[in-house]
Amino acid sequence: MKISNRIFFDILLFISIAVFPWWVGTILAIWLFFVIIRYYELIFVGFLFDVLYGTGALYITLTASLLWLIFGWLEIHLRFYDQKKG
Amino acid sequence: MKMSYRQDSIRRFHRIRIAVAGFFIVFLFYSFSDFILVKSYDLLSFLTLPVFRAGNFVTDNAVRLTTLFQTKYALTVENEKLRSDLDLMELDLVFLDYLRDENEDLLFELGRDIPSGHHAVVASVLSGPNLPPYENLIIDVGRDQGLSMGDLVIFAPNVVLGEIEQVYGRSSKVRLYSSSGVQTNVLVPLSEPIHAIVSGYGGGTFILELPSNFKIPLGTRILIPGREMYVLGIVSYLRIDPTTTSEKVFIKYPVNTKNIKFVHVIKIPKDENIQ
Repeated sequence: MKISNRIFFDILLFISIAVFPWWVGTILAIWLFFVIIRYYELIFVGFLFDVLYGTGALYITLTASLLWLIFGWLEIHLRFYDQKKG
Repeated sequence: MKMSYRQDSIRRFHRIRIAVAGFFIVFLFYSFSDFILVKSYDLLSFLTLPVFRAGNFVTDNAVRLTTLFQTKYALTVENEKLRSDLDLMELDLVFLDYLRDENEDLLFELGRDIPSGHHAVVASVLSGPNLPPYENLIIDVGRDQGLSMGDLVIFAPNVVLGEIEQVYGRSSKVRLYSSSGVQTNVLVPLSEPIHAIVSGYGGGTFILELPSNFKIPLGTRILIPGREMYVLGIVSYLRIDPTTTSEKVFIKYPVNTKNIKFVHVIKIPKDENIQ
């Protein structure tokens, strides 16, 4: 994905976190994780949730970090390879 | 001389380094989470506050736009229903004014003045309780308007919602009493009033555990003890546990906290205990 598209989706994600219910931003972030390589923004999404709505703990940041590791493992182990290339 | 290492040793060292770095980051975040959150919110507020306002503006107008597509008959029916609701509420308001006057008279008779140090500020709600573990409101008044931590947030005229938890220059975060784990002293107005502690249960609800011999009717108003007698919620559901002879009383706010647009913040003098 081009960097301009990535920035566009990051802005979209930021707006969705601030405006829409929490699950909209969460679904968008998880979808983007599997579309964009090395999607570190997933952890930042958790941090943003904590900053905007939290009061004194970073539960969502830690959850997002764990999800980042789990999804990263899943992404490696569930990759579908191109049949032609073998 | 060039040193050579076994590949698995290098990998192990790399993993240990990552684990140590991870542990260090978690420790830092855990120790300084409050500071990090407050500073980050301060930095981000110049971006987030306009987005919150724009979001509310778009949502409100989208709701208005849907009325364009409603039929005339549906609008008439809704209008009639709202008018009858309004009539009922006006009656309630008359009664409420009467009760307030009577309360002030009684307090005067008892030789206690109405609290003069309390000032209310009207605040617009920028964001409602949006995320399950955190049940907070973000309002558009803050330190600049003289707010401070612990100020009481009510929904007019007398429904208490929560307290100011964090104050910034032009915004504040309000922790709702219904947040999971928050405990609040209440007064249950039965024939013999009882003091109890309710726990926040999330989603605008509370839970209160009592012996099952207390008969609390559904719809009972649960009050915050004090001179003002703020309403915390109404009893919405009862569940008796036959194994422990106790009953769980589920209480909910009389208003939907997700739809609140404005609240009042009661500035409490700092030398006064809130509860």
